[in-house]
Amino acid sequence: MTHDRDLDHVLDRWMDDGPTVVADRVIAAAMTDVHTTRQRGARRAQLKELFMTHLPQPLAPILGAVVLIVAGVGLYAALTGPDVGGPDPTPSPAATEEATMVLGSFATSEFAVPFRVELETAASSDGWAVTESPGIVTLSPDVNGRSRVIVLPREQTQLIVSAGARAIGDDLIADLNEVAGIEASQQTAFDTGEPATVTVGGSEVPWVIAEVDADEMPLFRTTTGETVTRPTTTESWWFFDVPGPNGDVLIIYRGGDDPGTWGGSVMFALESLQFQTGQ
Amino acid sequence: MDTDLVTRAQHGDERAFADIAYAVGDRLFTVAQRILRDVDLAEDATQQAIVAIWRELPGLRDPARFEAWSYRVLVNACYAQARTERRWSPSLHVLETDHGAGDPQISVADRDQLERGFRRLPPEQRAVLVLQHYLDLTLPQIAEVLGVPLGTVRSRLHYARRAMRAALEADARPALSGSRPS
Repeated sequence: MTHDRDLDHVLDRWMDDGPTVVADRVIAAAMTDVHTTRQRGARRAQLKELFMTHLPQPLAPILGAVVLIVAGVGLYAALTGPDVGGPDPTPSPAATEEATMVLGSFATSEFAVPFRVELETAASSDGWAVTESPGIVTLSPDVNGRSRVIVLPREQTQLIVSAGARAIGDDLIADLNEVAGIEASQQTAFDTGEPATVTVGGSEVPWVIAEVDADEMPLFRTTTGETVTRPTTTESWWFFDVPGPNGDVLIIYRGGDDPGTWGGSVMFALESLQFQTGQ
Repeated sequence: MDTDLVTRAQHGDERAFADIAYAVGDRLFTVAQRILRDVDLAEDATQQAIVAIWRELPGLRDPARFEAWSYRVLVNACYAQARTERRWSPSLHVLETDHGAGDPQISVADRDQLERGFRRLPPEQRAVLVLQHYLDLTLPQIAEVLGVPLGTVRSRLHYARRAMRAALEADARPALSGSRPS
């Protein structure tokens, strides 16, 4: 029987063997490719710096909450209608039947500061804007009439996706991989607690609730629409993968009850919004 | 890694990135070669990783974490190489080990068995072994580099070690059986 220490020793020594210098041509070839390769998210990185420089820091968690909470409210309003429980969105009369999303203004009193998001009419190209608290985030559909929102704090997204959020479609995987810092991949094997498909507002909605333990281990639980929590969980992260009325996907990814958890998400939420609206 | 260089490269400075590439190239290649056990594949993975690092660099939030992040990119490049190259086939691969070289404390037979056992491992398990035994990373560090839960690292390591141990012991068995009286 090979003892652990023996095996460790053998593996240590064995791995020390082998080449340690790369041929210059390899680096040179890579740099040739680099010269013709555009960096991803460079523009977003510049925007981030801009915002980090000019936005008052206390505003950051609030803006993150604006984006995430209110968009979530809008999503539920769009998909569930008035007969389904949940937050209390108030669609504006401006909503039109032709809209590919449920357009209008949605508000929530879930947090102390009132938030509002306005989804403008389809095909508007006004882009998005953020104003001071109480913030208004204007989401404009792109020229194709889409108004997708993907709000994904970067680090947690990596954690979630790598842990097996299989409800993500290939096209969305591709989209996610366009977002700087997100490495999305489709999983082929899942734990027994893999996510389930539930019906929301008459639509089959795959969704995942990921519970992120403060230590390290994210756990996925099958859900029937209820928020699943564990006593030892310090933060819960909701991951929605929802086909919108026009077949688009709107994802809301939100943190736990502590508003402080939003802080680090703000810029990435804004980046994601900016990315998704193509402005 | 000089964080100033990283920051400049994040802003599109190719010269700064070239300095980074030459600084980390050996390290990336060395790790890739340990994972892939093939110089050609390792060179390809290194090249791909460097380009991917450049492409994704603006998304790196903390330049001080460049090293760990670059390992993740490299490991992903190794996975890609491993899964796309037919040469990955473990049963057909010709061992490259120079039996006259290497650590004299490891027997030629052991090195052969290690090589064969390692080549049978899936790339995910190879990566964990290399990160632990070559880079001396702790399990939490490996989890961070790979972007997987710690439990996954433990699991991969468990299976990888079991396979490597079995490979070494398989080497021992013929010798024992050969000593039996016929």
